[in-house]
Amino acid sequence: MHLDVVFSSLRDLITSPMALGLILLAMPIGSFFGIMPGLGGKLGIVLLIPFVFGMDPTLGAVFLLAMHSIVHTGGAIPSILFGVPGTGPDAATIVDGYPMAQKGEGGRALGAMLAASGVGGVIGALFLALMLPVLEPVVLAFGPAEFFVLAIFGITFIATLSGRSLIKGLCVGLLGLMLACVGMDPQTGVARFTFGQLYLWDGVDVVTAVLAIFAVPEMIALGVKGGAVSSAQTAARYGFRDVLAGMVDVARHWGLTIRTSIIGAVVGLIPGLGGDVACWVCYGHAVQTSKTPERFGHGAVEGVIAPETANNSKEGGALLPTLFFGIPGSSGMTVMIGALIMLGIQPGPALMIENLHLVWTLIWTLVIANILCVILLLACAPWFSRLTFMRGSLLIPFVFLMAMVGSYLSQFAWENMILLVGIGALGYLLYKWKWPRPPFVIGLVLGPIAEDSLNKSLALWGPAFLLRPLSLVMIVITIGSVAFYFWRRRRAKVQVAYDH
Amino acid sequence: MTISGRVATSAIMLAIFAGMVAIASGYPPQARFMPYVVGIPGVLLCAVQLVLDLRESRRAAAAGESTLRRELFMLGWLLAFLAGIVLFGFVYATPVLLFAFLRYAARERTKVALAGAAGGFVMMYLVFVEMLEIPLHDGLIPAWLG
Amino acid sequence: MWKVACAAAIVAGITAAPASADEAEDFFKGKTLTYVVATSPGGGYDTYGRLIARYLEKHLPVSKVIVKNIPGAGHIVGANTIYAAEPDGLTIGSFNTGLVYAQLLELDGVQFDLHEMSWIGKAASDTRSLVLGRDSGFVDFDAFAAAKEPVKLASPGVGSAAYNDTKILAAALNLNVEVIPGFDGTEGEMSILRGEVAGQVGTTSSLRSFVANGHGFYALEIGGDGSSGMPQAAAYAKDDNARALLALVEAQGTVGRLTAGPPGIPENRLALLRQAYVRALADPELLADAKKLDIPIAPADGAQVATLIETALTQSPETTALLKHIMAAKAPTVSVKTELLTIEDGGKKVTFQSGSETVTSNVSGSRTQVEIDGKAAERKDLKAGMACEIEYESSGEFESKIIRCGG
Repeated sequence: MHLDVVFSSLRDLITSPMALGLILLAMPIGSFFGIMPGLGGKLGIVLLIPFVFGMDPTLGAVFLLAMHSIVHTGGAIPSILFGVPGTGPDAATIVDGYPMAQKGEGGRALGAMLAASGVGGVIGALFLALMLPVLEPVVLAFGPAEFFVLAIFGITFIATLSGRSLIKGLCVGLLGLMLACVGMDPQTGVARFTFGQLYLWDGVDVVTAVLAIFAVPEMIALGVKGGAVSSAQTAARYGFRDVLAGMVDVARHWGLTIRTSIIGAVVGLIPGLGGDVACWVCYGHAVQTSKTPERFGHGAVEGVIAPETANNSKEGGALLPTLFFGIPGSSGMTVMIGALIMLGIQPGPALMIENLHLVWTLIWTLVIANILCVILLLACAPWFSRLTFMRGSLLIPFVFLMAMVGSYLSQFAWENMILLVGIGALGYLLYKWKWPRPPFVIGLVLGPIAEDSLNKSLALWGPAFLLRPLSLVMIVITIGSVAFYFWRRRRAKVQVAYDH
Repeated sequence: MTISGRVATSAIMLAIFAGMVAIASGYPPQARFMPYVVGIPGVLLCAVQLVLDLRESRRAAAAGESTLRRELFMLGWLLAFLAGIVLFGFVYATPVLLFAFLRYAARERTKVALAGAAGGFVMMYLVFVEMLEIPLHDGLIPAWLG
Repeated sequence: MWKVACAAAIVAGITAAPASADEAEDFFKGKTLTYVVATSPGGGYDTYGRLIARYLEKHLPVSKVIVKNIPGAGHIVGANTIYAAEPDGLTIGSFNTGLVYAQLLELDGVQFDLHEMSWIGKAASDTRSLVLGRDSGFVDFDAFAAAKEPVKLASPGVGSAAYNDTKILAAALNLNVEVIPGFDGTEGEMSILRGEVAGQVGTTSSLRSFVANGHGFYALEIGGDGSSGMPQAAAYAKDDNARALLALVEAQGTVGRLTAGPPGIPENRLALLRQAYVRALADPELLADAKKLDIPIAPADGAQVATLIETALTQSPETTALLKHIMAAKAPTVSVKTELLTIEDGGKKVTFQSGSETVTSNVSGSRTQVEIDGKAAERKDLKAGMACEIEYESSGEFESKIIRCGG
């Protein structure tokens, strides 16, 4: 790697008013797409394609990437303020972010989210840069066998995310796994649990399910409780102070921040895992590595930091297989490939040889976009957080609408809205009687990966697939992780018993 | 004797698992593998939880379920939103539903309700349909009327 | 007298025809045309759809053409929607030609009839080809076909068009392959790179960058005009059945990125749509855009598409039965009158002779219907030596559906 390419691309980017202007323009657009449920991700890029059609390839790519890389930053805002995920991966931020807002710490949560996103995005870009030389062997090392064990590893996080009620958590996780079976089974062609409805052939839509299990119950609860999102009385001096406090939190938890950024980037790197996985695995990691895990779910700032770093770093990771294999690292990247080709950029190994300048320009775009976004949203954060002190009843109908739009846009299927209300009602029951809800999303997202990979692995190697080296390593890690979980539970019980 | 919400939730979860396992038994072996692996433990765990909840209910005296009315109220509005949008489409239903909710459920002043309804309509129509050119659901009834 | 009538008829004909076309033009003026794309945004069909929609707007008197994505069930939901739409000419759209399979196999959920659709045109030809990995161990198709061990090929989920293509190719050319389903999108290519499978069958254009990057080579092409220089599948077909099956795959390759409307669009409006389509696809600006998008354009008008589709849908009963057998879409059952040779496990397994094979069939307690001497019975009542009429699945566990025995 010639170092001069690294810096010449940065210089060219910074000294080009067009490029900077486009990045600046991409900020509000990306934030808006992130905030509105259903618009982030694929649809956002698709909508912008007509605008970049005919642009200079580099400028067009810079614009699209800048927009796409900060979608999850914007998407976390409604997660924290209203408990409504702006995008699927932002659901993990709700679990602790929304309780923080309810306690009146909305500004702090936003600050932590922004700083975490910025750091995550930059680390993700760095990761992308560092991985360039060793990309191919790493990506190719992950086949169906490794995916299966990874999925199982992720599934064991259900226990970690169950808080105190392991049985309830497991049930909810199993429910997620069960609903993951709905649809046309790719292995046998049997339509499972579709009740003759063609619309269910593609399975339960994850965006709808996430909106239903998180946003709907929170809004119903808000309507029942009355008042505002924040039950704290002090609406007094919320301004930059709170937001800055949140940013300081990220610095305080620097170990966690860096670790989850890297985990997020790695998950993004592996094509096929999808963005929803990264945030939950990192959230689970935060719970696992905390000395006081019982705070999670009630407003622990680490619960905001961990998923948010991952959300942004995974975009850097996902760019790798996209650019160099033409294989999308995430669903958003699927459209990105089409957009790049349309701009005249052909993804593939040749890109690294022929156009390293472009690759580095894109890496710098990620860095600049993330940093810029943090600065811009920082200015707006105090105003955003005031919304949590607004009358809830004013908020509720708009949130209902946003959820309906989001679930409709996901597959352009109005039946999704019915599913939204149905699962939402169940979600409310779960919320009321303290059944943990995050395991549901894990089950729903990882279920198809687990079953599909298992079937493929058995077809390719038979049961011996578990003995492949990388699989063995991950099996050991999984067992270790589960053992660690039980050991901590025992210690906590012993602790309690001792205290009495 | 009213069944407490706690017990009802466990019972519903159990019913969902049991139902899905039963349906899955009609599928060929490879297709029913995953539903069995997931569903059968699910049934067992939910049954255990149900028993635990039944015991808990007996111990704790039934605290007044005064929130039930408000919960049904909110659920009712949610269903109203669903019906309105599915039947009449986003563009027509949004302002009507927003106005209705703000005025009658949230007890806001008429001016506020109208402002909210107008804002929602602007969002739906101007931003989504015109600017972004995303065709929103048109409602089953307008489609049926042709 | 009749001269006058003739003249009158001629005059009427001359004035009527343009009036029809005018009426169609008037109808479309100021209206909005909806172009349905049967996939979610992004991806090949969406790209073609949006491009064509843009230029249809230019060549039709409509005020606007909007693109509506209606994904689901592998293009079936979109196709159903187009079929059921109001046949006024204001709703048209695109779906995968592979739905021909869906109709031939009478899949659940199919609510359209391709015989009846109003065909407006098609935009591209996209033959199917077999791509083998560079490190697969095969240097060409002949080596592949001569393999002793079953060769693994990746394919998308069961029921998808590419899956069907793969199985049909294997059956038509008697290839020793094991199809591993579930590899959607580019997962198949990744799998080839990892060396798990030897190759996959897909559309020539979608596999182009894979081949261009040096990861694999085109081993065989099904259809096309031979200009690609690839080995042709037709050359390896050994009998009529094989040729018929390959022709089915070829037909789909020829009709790529089609545009259709619901049955019953008035003649004049359909004519106008077809004309506008042809003009749009000949528009130099569209061709320039397509080049930028890197998508090939090889148009044909509605009438030609209609003929091609009809041909594809017209299969002899043998071919259709063969197709169903290959797909095992509904686990095709075999009926045989034979004697029960052995009973195992209290009737759970029975063995009998079926033609030249000995079959061991699973007897389900709940799903198999057992009758002895015309009366309903249990599987434990079955005895060796009974003469029975058995209907059983010809694959998997060969589960019996009905066992009717006498004495």
